[in-house]
Amino acid sequence: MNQHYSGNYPNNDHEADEFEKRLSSIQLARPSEKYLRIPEQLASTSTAAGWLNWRWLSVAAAAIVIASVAIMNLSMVDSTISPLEPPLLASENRNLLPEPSPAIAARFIEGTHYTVLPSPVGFADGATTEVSMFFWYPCWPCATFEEHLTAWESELPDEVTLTRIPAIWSAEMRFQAQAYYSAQLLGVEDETHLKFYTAFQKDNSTINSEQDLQLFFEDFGVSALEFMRAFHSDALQERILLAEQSNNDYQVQSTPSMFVAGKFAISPQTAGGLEEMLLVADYLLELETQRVR
Amino acid sequence: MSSNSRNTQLAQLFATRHKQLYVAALAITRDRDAAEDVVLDAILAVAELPVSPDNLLAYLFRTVRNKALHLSKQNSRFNTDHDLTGFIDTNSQNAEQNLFTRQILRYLDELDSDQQQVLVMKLFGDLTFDEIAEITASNPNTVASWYRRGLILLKEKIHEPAL
Repeated sequence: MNQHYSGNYPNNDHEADEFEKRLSSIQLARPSEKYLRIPEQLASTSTAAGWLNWRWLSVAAAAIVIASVAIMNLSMVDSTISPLEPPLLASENRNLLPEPSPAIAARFIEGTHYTVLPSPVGFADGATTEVSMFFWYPCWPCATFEEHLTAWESELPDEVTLTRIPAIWSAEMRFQAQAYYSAQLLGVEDETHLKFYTAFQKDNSTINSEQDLQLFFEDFGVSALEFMRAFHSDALQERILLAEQSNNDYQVQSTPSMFVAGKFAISPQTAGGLEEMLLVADYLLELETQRVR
Repeated sequence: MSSNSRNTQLAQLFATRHKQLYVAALAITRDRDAAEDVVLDAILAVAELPVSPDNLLAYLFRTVRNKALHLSKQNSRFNTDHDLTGFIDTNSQNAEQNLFTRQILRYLDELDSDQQQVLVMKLFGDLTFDEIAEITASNPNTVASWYRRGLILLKEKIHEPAL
């Protein structure tokens, strides 16, 4: 059921080695002598940089003084408010998820329905619980899972965030990830995400090049210029790099895969099916909620 | 980190990584002078940051690549006649090898940009997969897959006979 992928290697290792050897005989132009003297130029800028640092320090010091005065004034207005106290949550917000019934708690077992990651994967916002879902457009179980996931996502409390991350293990997958993030940057992710599952079907893809992708986006009102800007932007490159880092951090090896709170891994195999993945995710989210309380 | 200590750290990084920095820039700019300018600009830019990045080396590599990409887009260095001077060490090649190299570069331009850069850095620049992974902030397995796939596509394009 899951899509597990390995790299595409030359069938004839001897031929690949000879070809590689011939290419390896090509050498890049050597750097000039002045290149190796770059540290000298760096040293000559030290004095100028020192003066710049003093300027930044003085700005930071002024900011600290202004903030301190503001806090003192606030304290004088209402002595019951401490600047270090977080705002109180409304009581109803604490009930994030229903209490697990004894039947659910007994069904899901660590090592069977889900696994615990050897090293937790950290994430930026400690105030929310993150669920990461890794997908691949040509993966048909991912396409099927998407329908259940969308409905499940709409029921999530505010303190839980779902992040879809494209699996990236090859140049082909990287291109499909570029398509996903281009849609995000262009503001048409909702309209295109499910359509990409159809367009990128394995062995029958209709999007095989940048030009094909540009034509795909035209159907959603994106001009060629808007697409080119998004596709070749630093913002897209940054999202790709972060996705690759996430793939590496979680050691993703199949799709669809879900990870809860950076600690728990769920797959269709462990959970017993696509819909069952979401039941296990609910259970793990409740575990996390009880832990935080 | 004070400015002076960061400059010292940058100088140390350059001493140990100058080849990686140069090859990373050259793989994109395809011109030696432009690559050297990019590395210098990147080091000076990182030296002048108000706050030190957590990972100075990774930040430096990323700055080099971004500046190289920016420069290559501005100057359209991917010329159609594939001028080798300034990119390839033509002194070490005869006329036949130069012809082969031009052919390779022509087909290289048809590959995905990641495959292009990895092939240049690995084949021509003699960097390891781990070194390239550091430069591109990627998983070494990802780099290896780009390399292998790019090599297969390059070979298909050039119709290399069995050796």
